[in-house]
Amino acid sequence: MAYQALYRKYRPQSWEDVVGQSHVTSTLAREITEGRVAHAYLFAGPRGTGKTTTARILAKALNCEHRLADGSPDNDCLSCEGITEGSSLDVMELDAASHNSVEDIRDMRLSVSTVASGPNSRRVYILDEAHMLSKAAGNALLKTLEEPPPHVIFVLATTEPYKLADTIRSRTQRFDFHPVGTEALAAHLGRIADLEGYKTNPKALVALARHAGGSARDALSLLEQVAALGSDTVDLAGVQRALGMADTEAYTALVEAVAKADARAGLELVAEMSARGIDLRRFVGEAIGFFRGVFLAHYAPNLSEVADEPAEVLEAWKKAAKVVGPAAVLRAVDLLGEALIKLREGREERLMVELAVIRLTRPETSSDPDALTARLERLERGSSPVSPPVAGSAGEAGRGESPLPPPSPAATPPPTLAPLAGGGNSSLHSPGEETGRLTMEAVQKIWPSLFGSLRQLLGPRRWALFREAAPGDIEEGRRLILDVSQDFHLEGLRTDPVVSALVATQAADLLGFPIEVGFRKTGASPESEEATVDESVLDKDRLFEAPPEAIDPTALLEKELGATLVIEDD
Amino acid sequence: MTDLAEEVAFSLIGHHDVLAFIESELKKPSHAYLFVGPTGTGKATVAREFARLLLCPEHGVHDEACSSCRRIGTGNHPDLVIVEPEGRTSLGADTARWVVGQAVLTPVESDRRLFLIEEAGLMTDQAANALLKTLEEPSAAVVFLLVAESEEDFPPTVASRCRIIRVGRVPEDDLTAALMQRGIEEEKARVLALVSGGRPGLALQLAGQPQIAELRQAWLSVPSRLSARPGDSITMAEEMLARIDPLATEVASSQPTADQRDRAKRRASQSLLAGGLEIMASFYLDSASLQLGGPIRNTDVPLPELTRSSPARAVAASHQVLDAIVDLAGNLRPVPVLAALFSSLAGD
Repeated sequence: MAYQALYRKYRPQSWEDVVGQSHVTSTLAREITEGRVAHAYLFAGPRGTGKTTTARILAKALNCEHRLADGSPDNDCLSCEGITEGSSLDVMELDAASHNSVEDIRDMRLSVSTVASGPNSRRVYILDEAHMLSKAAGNALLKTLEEPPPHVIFVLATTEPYKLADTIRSRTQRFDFHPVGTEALAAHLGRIADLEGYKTNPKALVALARHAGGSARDALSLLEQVAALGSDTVDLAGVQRALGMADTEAYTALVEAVAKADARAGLELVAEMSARGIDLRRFVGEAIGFFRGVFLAHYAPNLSEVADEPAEVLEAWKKAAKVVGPAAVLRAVDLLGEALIKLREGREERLMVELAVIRLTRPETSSDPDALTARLERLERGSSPVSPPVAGSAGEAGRGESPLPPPSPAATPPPTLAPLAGGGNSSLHSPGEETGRLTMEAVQKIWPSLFGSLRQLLGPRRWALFREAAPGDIEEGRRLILDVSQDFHLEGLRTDPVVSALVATQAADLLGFPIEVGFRKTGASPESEEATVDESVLDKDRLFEAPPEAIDPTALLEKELGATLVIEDD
Repeated sequence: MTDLAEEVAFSLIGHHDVLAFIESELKKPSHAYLFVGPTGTGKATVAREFARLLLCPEHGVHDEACSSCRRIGTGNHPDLVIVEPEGRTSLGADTARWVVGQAVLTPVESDRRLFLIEEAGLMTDQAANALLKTLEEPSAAVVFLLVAESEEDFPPTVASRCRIIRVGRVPEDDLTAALMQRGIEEEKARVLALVSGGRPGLALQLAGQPQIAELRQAWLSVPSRLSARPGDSITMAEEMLARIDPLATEVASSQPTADQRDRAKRRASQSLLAGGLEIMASFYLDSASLQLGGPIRNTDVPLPELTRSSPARAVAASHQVLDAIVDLAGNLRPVPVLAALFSSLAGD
């Protein structure tokens, strides 16, 4: 026989095999033993919870020649075998999605009036995906559904019962199938894995079961897939690899990045997930679940009763709840939810997730009111962002001075200035760190971060001067000389001690040891204070200061803008 | 090596897991598979390769392509039913019912009958529901291969019946390494990986084009060239499209018929446009990241360029660029979309 998917091979054949629906199966079994079977049933519930399976068992139990005392079919008689094989004439399985026209229903009504195969047989009509019946077809069915011939039983199965007309629902006995609980599903997986000879580990089975979201079919498909990849071994690592899942630590790290406003740590986490082949969309989805758990941990003292998760996950939630406040958690859920929708619309995953992480860790990058609340909450909790404050700082507002003590260029920077948490920056530390000796290599390594962080710190005016600077040289192993190409900028940078002090402070934080900072003109040695004026570069200051008669406009236009003098004769 | 084989070999770069999975599946194939992943990652190629291996009497292990494999390459195998949407936009219930009817027939010459639905995401709800019963328990010889961008394109009952095979974009480093193995020097390989946005097929097709590095630079320079004057935005949009056009034509030129060339060109220019805009989005992302102490991607951009806008603005700009990609994928006309994007970025 051809290979069959596990969920087909192990389709339950008796009442007790159906997982997690005892409220349905025990009722049905009793109805059968007591002979009080209704003429129409409605089985409603999510995918993979056993609706069609239960309908088939019902048909079997009704027609079984040697029915057991508890109402189960014996699965041995001709009738049972016929139904299992799908060849019995007493079970008519139709899918309402492709038989949804009035004509189809009329055909069915004709066949309803014919007799069943044996004197005691009942004929069971299973209408799967009943929500797809057209309105007219549903109405055509009503009379038959209300009063079918005595030997006929209808079972309507659907994942979306609310789509059925009220008139249909009121004529049926309704059973709601629940998503299968994680534990029951894991046990079910364990039984089948044993039968198949897979080597399993309980944690892996629980992870699979949780991932299946209460659907037995999904769970078995996943089990099969993981077993196929791991050559019949099902362990936690295999499950995570096959599903592209991240572990709890990853979400804890995300929460920590949010708590510390550490964009770098957040982005590095995304990079790590991406490199490990984690499905980023799933990562976002599960991060939402994690933040929801953290939210629960804030408000539900009896966490273990409201959440169906293992103890270590609950513990991680509680821990996370200690570092992020409820407003930040809600904002995270909103933001990630929005990102998830955008991902579904087809945006590039990595970029989208990175953007979400930036907005998550640094609320000041978004303008929504929630961001403001999250920032306030963080202030109240007394934790400060990892890198310097961004938009809205004193410099940005154009009020001029940064809130700094009077600096001196050579002074060792005060440690309280612009705190940079050590954790996120370990990768930046250079080999020079241990000796405290500054090397060009180390400078090149920290330069992008240094440069990037200074923009907000310096404010627009100073930044306009500083953005022209680039690392030039090292003096005495502790003094960083920055090259500037224009005199105008050089002058401004040299006369403003705040700039070099801030640069030194920031650099010291990134490097882990104090340094000094100086500026010089590009190409010149640091000693030559009197840098020669480059005639090829227009010095606007000199232009403004010069008396008007000293300027030749034509020559200036020719030189600066490449104009050509054209003398037109009249 | 045939073209198909080469394309397949390349599409599978970085998809080691996918390849391993397909191989393990060949021993005991299930009855329904769903290949999901973003456009242009080669998921349809992977699905076809899987079909070829399933139908080949020697399981694809032979030097000279056998008759079965050859006919799959040309789309003429009687046991491979390729289901196509009837219009451009949807795959309706009638087609689904036709499939249900076909699925009871026995194979013609091999021991399996495959149904390949390459644009399964276009299925209407009615079509998906009509397929459900067959998809769950088809007759013994039938295997369904569905290809779509995401399992969320269907009702959850569909994905629940299939084994899901994820064919993602290839990470930049893997793709670069793979291109280098093919004799492309590192710098160019990295640019190709970036421009193609991790789509191996496109990267390989572009490998012969000298303008590629220039194209990337052009996209990276867009933010600094933005101007609030609408006229300039339109000119710039036209300029970017004019850069892409010859590349797309070149990529499509290998197709045999005019119709196929047309479609291939449209696909290629859409992918190139999306790849370009992603480069732009990554520029803005770098800008925000740099100023917040994070890592950056485009290390060759001068740092002052990256600090032009504040992190908040850069984040907003990056979002806008990504939104434009979605608009373009929805078949809006590229010039107005780009021009609108450029002016709104300049206006901020």
